[in-house]
Amino acid sequence: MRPSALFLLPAFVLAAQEPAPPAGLERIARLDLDGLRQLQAVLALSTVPAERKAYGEAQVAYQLVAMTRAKDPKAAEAMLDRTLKVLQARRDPESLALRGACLGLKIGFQPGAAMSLAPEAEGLFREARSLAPASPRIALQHAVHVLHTPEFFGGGAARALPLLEAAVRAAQAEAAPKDPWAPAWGRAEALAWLALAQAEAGRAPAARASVEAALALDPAYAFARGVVKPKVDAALAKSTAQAPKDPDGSR
Amino acid sequence: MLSALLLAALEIRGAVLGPGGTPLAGATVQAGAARTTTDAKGAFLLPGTTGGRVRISAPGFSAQEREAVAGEALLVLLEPEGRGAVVEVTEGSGYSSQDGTSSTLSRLEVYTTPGAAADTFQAVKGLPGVSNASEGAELFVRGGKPDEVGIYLNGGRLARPFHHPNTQGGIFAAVDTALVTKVDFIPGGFSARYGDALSAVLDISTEVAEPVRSTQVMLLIPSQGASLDRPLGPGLLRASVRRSDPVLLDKWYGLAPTFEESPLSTDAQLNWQMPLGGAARLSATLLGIRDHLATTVTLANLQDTYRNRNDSLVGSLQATGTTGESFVWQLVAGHSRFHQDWSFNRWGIRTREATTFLRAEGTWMAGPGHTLEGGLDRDHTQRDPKGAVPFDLANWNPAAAGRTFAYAFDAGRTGAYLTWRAVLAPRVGLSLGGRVDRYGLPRESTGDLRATLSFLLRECSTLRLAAGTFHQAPPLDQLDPHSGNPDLRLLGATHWLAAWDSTFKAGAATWNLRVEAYRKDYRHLVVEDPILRYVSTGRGEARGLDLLVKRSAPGWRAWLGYGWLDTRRREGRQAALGPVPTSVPHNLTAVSIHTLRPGLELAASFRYATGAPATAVLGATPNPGGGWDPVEGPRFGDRLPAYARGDLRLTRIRSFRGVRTVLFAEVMNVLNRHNAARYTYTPDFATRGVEESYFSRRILVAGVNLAW
Repeated sequence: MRPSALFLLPAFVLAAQEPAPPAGLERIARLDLDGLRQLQAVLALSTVPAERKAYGEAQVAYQLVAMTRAKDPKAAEAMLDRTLKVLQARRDPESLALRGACLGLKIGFQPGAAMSLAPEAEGLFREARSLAPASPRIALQHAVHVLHTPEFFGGGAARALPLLEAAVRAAQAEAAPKDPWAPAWGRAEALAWLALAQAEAGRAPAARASVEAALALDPAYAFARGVVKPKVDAALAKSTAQAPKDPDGSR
Repeated sequence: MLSALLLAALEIRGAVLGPGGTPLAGATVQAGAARTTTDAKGAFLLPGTTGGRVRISAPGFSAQEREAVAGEALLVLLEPEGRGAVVEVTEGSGYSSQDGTSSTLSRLEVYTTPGAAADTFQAVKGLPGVSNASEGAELFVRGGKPDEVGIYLNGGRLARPFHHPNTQGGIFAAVDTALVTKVDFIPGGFSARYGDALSAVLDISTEVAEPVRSTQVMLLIPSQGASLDRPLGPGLLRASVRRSDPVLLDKWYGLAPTFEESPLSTDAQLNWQMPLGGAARLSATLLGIRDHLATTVTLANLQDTYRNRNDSLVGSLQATGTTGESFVWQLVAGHSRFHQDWSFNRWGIRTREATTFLRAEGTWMAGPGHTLEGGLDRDHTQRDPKGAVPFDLANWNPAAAGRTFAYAFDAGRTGAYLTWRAVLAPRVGLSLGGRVDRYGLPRESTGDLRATLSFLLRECSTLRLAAGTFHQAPPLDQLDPHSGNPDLRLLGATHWLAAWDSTFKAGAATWNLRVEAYRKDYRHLVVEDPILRYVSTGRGEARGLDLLVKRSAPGWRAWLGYGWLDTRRREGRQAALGPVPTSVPHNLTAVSIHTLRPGLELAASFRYATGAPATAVLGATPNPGGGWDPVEGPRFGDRLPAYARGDLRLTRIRSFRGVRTVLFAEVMNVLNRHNAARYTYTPDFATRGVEESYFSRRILVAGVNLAW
């Protein structure tokens, strides 16, 4: 390299540098509706290649669909269909699992199609887990799918618990990815869903510990605070009420 | 610097984006009384506002409400409104059956409809506009005969998709529902894409978007079947085999055997789908159908064994793909062979028929809201009958004089069509299409115009007005140069229809209401003639009203279809404009499917139809041969008793170690009603009896479907 070329180096470095990922990308599953919509627009404006931001955009869309499906089901289903189309072109394990989760949402729009969509989602989760067994997100999304599947079809809280415990362990063991755009969420989320499943399975004290651990990681986690914690509190109250009373009244 | 910060604290800034992050100009941004619109770059500024709820809206997009903080940029990405917000431009009015919210009947509903025997055609018969003129799978649509319905499988035309085909159709369809992914049934006003069909179109697809490995085994008392889906490299192989033998049902009920050779039906289907790179894909479809039976019958003066064998094989190749971002193309090439042999003592006919069909078509998204669809199609059929029949069809004695024949003739058609679909305004759509066809037999050319205007009254509520002309060649039996009349004219029809379709939610339930009024005028219908055998001097008319009410909700799905029909024709042996076998004025189907608990469903269906027209015999006169000749009343001036049938079905779905088990028990004709198929008479025509219909007694059918 000629010495004069050294003067050009900073310019090359600057030109090659990608814009940093927007704030909130690592906590998409914990954002509220406004936060998701802001991030959706920020991602749309981002100049990084579409491939780099595709997972983040799809995850934002997944969360938006989950939050808006009751209020505007037609727009939500249209967004879900567009997201599924984007994810169909991706074969990386994280996208496969996200597609499985999207199919789970699709069943909510088309209960009659559950017979075909549920096995398709299950197949995607299994494929994703075989490709990336250490991913906490894949285990978590699979667990959420199992949790929402009726017991007679092989779902329910009891069957979801081992998967959620595995997701929590995987999240604790996972190192921060080198690629700032790579999916890196899952630790607080796995704890919150574990708490929900534990509460449903009647393991109230363990559920309380799990939800408190999730809130300790992110005190602003709306789902953990607004949905999971009340259910855990209700399960605790129920278990206390059902506890055998001391006949002597000495306890 | 300080003043700049103060100003920023008193204004809301931001940008509004459309799909893909493109700037959205002209969007309205409102915070309390303050209001502005976005500029060409999608940017906006609301001065003198410290924050709070902001509403952002734009025509054609779902509005958003956001919490804004003064001094922080508010970025908004608006999503297009739900599918109902802009009118959907389609032709006529159709019913769709697939896994989707827009479908009229889901595939699961086809499976679980009591009495439909998991047969797509039988399930379609429950839709309004299809008469219960018979218990078979053939479709009598709005007064039209079954051969006036164009039936397609993966883009290729199916001539006889029935088991034990007769002139009207057959008892069950030969396309296995396990492979069917989508059915479009269009009872009138269909698009210019479909030629050589006078009344309706049934378009079936077995294509799947995503390869999923699965295996299904179906065991019923009268039939058995297996199907599988196997990913094959990047592609998918789908296969199905079925076998049906009603003798098992006869044994189950201890009935005396009616047949010397059991009416055995088998079908096998293969569908191979292979991506070709990009959006292109190739698919191959193969459908084989075989039906054999032998039974003792009396034809006029002779009782003997009647044997019938039908073998049919249809194969097609379909390639689809896109060129650029706005052109979608499809090529279909196929060939079908049909062999039929029937014999009765020394008499019988052996027919060989071979058909080749080609179709090339494309759809060009010409611009926002504008689509052009066009294509070419060609089919060619060669028929080769050979046999011997008596001169006098009242004398089948082996010694009687007869004629033998062996000849071949062919028929063909080449057609082209173009359809323009446009969203004229967000709530007004137009489909305008035309097609031209050149027929080889009869030698005649036709031109048809078809138009549909769609109005979106409110979201998910559409009014459609459609009109069009349609042509179809008479059946080959009637065009046959040796036993028919090759100089017949093409059958013609004009359709007029007005349809209102509305979908709305009430609580947890989704309701679908459809009302459709129609009128059809027919010309050049075929009338029997003592000299020329057949002539094209017939005509006909049909008018009616179809109603569908459907409720879908977790736990209870139900629908009711009712059709009123007034049709008269001058056709066949009906020498004056009057009733014909399809003149069944009232048809009603009600289906209710309840989920008793997860995995346990109870379904009930009820079908009612006015009795089919029949020709009464008023008396008889002795003939020189010692027999009696009937004295008939007005042609189809009488009716069979009304048809009514109720069916019950209990379905249990279980999943164990990855194997999904569907157990079902069905009671067909639970009311044990003895419905009539036709009137019969004693030899002297003094006493009238009734021949009962196929399902004229209470029948219990049970089965299991295993899938893994």
